[in-house]
Amino acid sequence: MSFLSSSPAPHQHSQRNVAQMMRDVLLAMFPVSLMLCWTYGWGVLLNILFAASCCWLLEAAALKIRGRNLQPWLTDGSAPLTGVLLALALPPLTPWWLIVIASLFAIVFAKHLYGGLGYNLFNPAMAGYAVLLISFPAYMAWWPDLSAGSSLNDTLHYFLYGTAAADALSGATPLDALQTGLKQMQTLPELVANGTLATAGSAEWVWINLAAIAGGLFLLMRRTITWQIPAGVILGLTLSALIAWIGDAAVNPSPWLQLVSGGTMIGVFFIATDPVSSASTPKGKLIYGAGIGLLTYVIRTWGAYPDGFAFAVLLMNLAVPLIDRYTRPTLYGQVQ
Amino acid sequence: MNGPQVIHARNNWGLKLPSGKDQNPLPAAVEISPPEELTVLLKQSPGGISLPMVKVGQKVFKGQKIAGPARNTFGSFLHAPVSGTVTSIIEANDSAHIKRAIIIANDGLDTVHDDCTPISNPFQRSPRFIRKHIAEGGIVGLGGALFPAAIKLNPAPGIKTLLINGVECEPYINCDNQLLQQYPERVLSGTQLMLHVLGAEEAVIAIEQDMVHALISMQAATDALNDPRIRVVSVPDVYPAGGERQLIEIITGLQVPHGGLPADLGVICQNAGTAAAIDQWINSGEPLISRMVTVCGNATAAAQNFVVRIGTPIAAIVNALQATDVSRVIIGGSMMGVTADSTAEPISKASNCIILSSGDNFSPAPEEMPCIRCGDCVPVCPARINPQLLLESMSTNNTRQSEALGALDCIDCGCCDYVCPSGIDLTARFKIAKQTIWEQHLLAIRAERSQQRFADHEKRWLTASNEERETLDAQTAGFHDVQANSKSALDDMLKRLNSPTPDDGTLKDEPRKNDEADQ
Repeated sequence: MSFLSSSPAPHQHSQRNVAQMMRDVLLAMFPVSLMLCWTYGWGVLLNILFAASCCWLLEAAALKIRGRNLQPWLTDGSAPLTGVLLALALPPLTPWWLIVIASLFAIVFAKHLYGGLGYNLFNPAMAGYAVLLISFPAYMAWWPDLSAGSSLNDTLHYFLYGTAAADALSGATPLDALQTGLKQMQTLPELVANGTLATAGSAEWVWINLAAIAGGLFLLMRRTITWQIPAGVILGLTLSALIAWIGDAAVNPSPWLQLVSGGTMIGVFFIATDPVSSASTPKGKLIYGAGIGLLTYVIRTWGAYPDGFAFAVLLMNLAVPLIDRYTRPTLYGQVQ
Repeated sequence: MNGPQVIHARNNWGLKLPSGKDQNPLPAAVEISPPEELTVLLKQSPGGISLPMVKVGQKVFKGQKIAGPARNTFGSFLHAPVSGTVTSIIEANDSAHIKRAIIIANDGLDTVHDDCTPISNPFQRSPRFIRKHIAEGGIVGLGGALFPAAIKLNPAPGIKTLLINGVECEPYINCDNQLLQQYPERVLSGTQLMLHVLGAEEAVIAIEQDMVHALISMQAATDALNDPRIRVVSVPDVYPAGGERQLIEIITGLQVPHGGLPADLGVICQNAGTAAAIDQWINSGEPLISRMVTVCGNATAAAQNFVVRIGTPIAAIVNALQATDVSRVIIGGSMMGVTADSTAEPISKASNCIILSSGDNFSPAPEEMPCIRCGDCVPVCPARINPQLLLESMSTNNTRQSEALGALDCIDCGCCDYVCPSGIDLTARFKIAKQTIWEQHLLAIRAERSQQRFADHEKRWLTASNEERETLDAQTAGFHDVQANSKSALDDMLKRLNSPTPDDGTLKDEPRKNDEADQ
C-alpha cells in the first residue's frame, strides 16, 4: 500500500488562526465601545459601523484592484478591526467624508500599498487617524458637550452635513481641557477645583478606560496578546509622568490622570498590540511599548496635540525593524 | 528511599503539549513475530551507508553481521534480524522510493549465530574492549539520531557525567516509557557498562515528570541496585525537553557551546533505549536486531508498545494488529514524525513510533496566511531562533542572513509551526533553508579547491622545464575554448584537473554525464 499524501511535520497544530485572533480583539473592544456610546451617544455607534463597513469595502476594492482572491482576506476580520480602532479614536461626531478619507488612507495606503495583511509597516488605523489629525485639526478637536447630550437626529445631521448648532460642539476631552488650562497658566488643583476637568468628563473617561482594561485582560487570558507591550506602554507613560509629577505636582498631571485620560487604555491594549506593526520578540515588545509610553508623554506635554498616542505608535512603528534586529534572542550555545 | 530529584523549568522555551500517553502502568510489551521477509535498510546511521557483507543467496543466522561501516564513516554494523536467506540486495535508491537495503527471507527458525555470546565479567574487561564490542553489536543512539554509540563513548578527558535520556517528550511516542517501566534493570546495567567505558563519575537518568510509572519503577530499581554513582531525576514535561542539548540545558543550566559537543561540558548523553540495547548485547549476546516500537493512531484499537525486529515492514505490523483503513502512516511522533511513502517501508533502528491513521488523525493546520508578525514563535524556540525573522530572510533568498539568524541551528522540533496562527509550515521551510546553505558551502569549498589547483598548476608551469611544460599544457588544452562559452570544454578541463586529486567522495561531480548527454 503506498500513500500519495504527505504533509510535512509537525502533524499537530494548535487550533489558533488569524481570523480568530481578529475576532477576539473585536470582541474585547465591546465593553469600551459600549461605554463610549453610553457617554457620548449615538455618534460613537455610527462611527464604528460606518468605519468598519468602509474599511471592509475598501479592503475588497483593494484586493480586486491588486488581482487577489477575496478569500480568505475578507473574512479574516482585519479590515473591520482597523475600522473599529479608527472609529474609537475619532471624536463621537465626525462627518462621514472624514471617515472615508481616513479609511482610504488606512486600508489602501498604509496597508495594501505595503503588500496587504502582514506587510504593513505602520498601524493602518493610526495612519488613517493621523491624516485627519494633521489635515482636519478643527474637526478632530470638536467634541460634544457632555452636559448637552445629542439626539439621534442631531447626530445624523452632523454626520451627513458636518454642521451643527454652535454650542453642540463646545465640549472638550479631559486631555484638551488639561492642555488648554495649563497653557492659560492654571494649576492642576485649580482645574480640578473649578470643575474644568469634571466638565470635560474626567470621571466618565475613567470608566471608559476601565472598560478597555477589561477587554485587554480578556485578550491576555486568551493569549491573543502578550503582556509585554501593554506593560511597556504603561511603564513608559507612568515613569515619565511620575518623574515630572514628583518634580511639580501643580502643573504636571499625575501618572494616574495620564493613564485614565483620553483613550490611553484603548491604545495600550488594542492599538499598540497590533501584531503586524509592533515588535515581535519578547524583549522588543517591552522596548516598543515603553517607547510608545514615553513618546505619548512627550507629545502630550510639549506637543501641539492634546493626545499623542497615535503619533507615538507611528513613530515606534518606524523603529520596529531595528528593535527586532537588536532584541533577537541569543542563539542556543552562543550565550556569553 | 529518596524520591527522584525534581528539576524545575528554568527556561520558557518549548510547548506544553497534550502528551497523548496512557497515564496508567503499561502492560508488558509483546513481540510482533517477524514476517516472512524483512528489509534491513543499509542507511541506519547519520554517517553513511553501511556496506553489505553478505551475498545474494547466502544463508544467514540471527544476529550475524550482514553489513558494516565504510572506512572513516560514522556508519554502523547491521545484523540479520532473523535466520534465513539473503534474497536480494538493493544497491541504489531508485525512483520508486525503494531504499538501499538487504532483503532476507525468514526461515522461521531463529537460529542464532555463533558470534552472539555474552561477555562474562564485563567490568573486568578493559573499557576499550567493551567500547569496541559495543560497535560490533551495531548499537546506535535509539533516541532517533542513530549516532553510533561507541563513537560517543570514546572517553575524552574530563567527562564527568553520563546523562541517560529517558525524557520522551514528543506526543504519541511511548517506547522509552515502556522500557523504563518494564526493564529498568536493563537500563541500569547498560548505564553501569557505559560508566565503566567512560570512567565517568556519575550517571543521571532523566525522566519526564509526567512519566509517573517510569519514574517509580526506575527509582525502585536504582534503590535496589544501590550504586551511589547513579541517580534518577524528574524533568519538566515540556516539549522538546528530550532534545539532547535542551536536556543538558535543563539538567546543568548550561548550554552546549555553539559548534561544540556536550563533551565540552563534561557530559555524554545517551538514550535510555541505547543503554538497554548495550546491556542486551553485552550480557545476553543479542546485537541490536529489535527495538521497542509504539504503535498508535486512530486506525488501531489502542496505543500499544511492541518489540519489533529491525527490518519488519510496516505492512506486517498492520496485518498483525488487523488494522483496517490505514490511509496514512507516520514514522515517529506527531511533531517530528515523517510520513511513510508506503507500508512497505520497514522498521529501522530509529523507528520509535508508528502512527497509523485512517482519514485524518490530526486536524489540519489553519489555512496559510502571511506572517502577521505576532511573535508567538519566538519564545517557544528551544534553539532561540527568531523564526519570524528567519522566514523573512528566506523570502528574500538571503542565505547569508538566514545562516546568521540560525537556520543551521534549527532542530526541526516544530514548536514554531505548532503555534503559528498563520499556518505557515516553518519547519519544512527551514529544512529547505538548511539544505540550500549546505549546498552553497559545498560550492564554496569546491570553488576554493579549483582555485588552489589552478594556482598550483601555474606555479608548476613557471618552474617547469620545457618538456614538462608540454605535458602541463596538454592538461589545460581547450582552456581557450572556454571563452567561446563552451560548457563541455570547461567540464572536460575541470575533469582533467580534478582527476589526479584524491577526493573524499562528497564533492564528486556526479551529474556530469548528463551534461555531456545534453551536448
